[in-house]
Amino acid sequence: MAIQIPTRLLDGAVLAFLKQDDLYGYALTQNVQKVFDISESTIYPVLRRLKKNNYLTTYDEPYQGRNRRYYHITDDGIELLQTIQDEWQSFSTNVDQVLGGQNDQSN
Amino acid sequence: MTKVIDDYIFELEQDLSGLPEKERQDVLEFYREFLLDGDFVRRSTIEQELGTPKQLSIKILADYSTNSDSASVKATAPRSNLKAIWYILLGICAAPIGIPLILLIFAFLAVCLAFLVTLAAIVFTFFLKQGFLLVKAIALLFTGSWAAGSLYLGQALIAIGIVLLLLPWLVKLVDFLIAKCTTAMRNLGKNVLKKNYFQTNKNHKEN
Repeated sequence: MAIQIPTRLLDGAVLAFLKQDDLYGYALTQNVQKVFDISESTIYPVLRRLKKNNYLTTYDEPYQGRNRRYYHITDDGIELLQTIQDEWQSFSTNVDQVLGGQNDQSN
Repeated sequence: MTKVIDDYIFELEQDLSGLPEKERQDVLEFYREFLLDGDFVRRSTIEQELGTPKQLSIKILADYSTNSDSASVKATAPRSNLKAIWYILLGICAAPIGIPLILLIFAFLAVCLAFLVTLAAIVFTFFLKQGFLLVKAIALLFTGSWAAGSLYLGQALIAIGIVLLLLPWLVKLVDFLIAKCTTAMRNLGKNVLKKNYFQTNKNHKEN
């Protein structure tokens, strides 16, 4: 895909998945990769930044004799997600008017 | 089975020695868990996904350097600013961008370096010259032209005094320039890395 994914949308996608459920790194990466064509090393920087700004927290849970680190969205994170969703709504509406799949205006 | 993963993480750890301890443990833990959860058993598949430890470490360091708080830039020592510039540079070089841009960046850094070296040379020669003058003036004091000697002595002392007073500002100026360079590199790094790094051009997608 030639269109590059802005960090803002990546943040939004991560937060959206975490709003449904707490996830660990691998599962979260898998989920995001189903939507965006991103490399495996993309998610850690995103999580690091979101955590640093208190949009999510982490906790460890034992799994097969080791720990799994789960990511949990905070209230701030939910708020940010709402903001990004609103931004995306107006953005996609505008783009649709020009590039919308219906070809309403072109003929 | 986990031997492959342990080896990979161990090598990554070596390459991340520049990171603060806590940050390094965090990132190593993340990738160890990632590899275990993904059931990676072969080195080749790991490297296909994450790259070699060296490549991955360059990405991590570049991200860490571009995204550390710009508010704390001023507070950090020039030394760590220089380190940040270096990591970002490595990251940019690893990103698939055109040679011209890399050349441009190197040219920019070369100019900055040349400026600093020149400044240091000027200050150094100044002290050398005044010191020389001082010795000569003191020698003159004990001859018939002691009046001229004391004139030179006074002159040299005044000049040295003024420069010593100005020196802290000069140091501040250099610090300021380095901090500005770092910020500029950070922004550049952010743009370049965001564009070229975080996306793959792989068309295949495995679940």
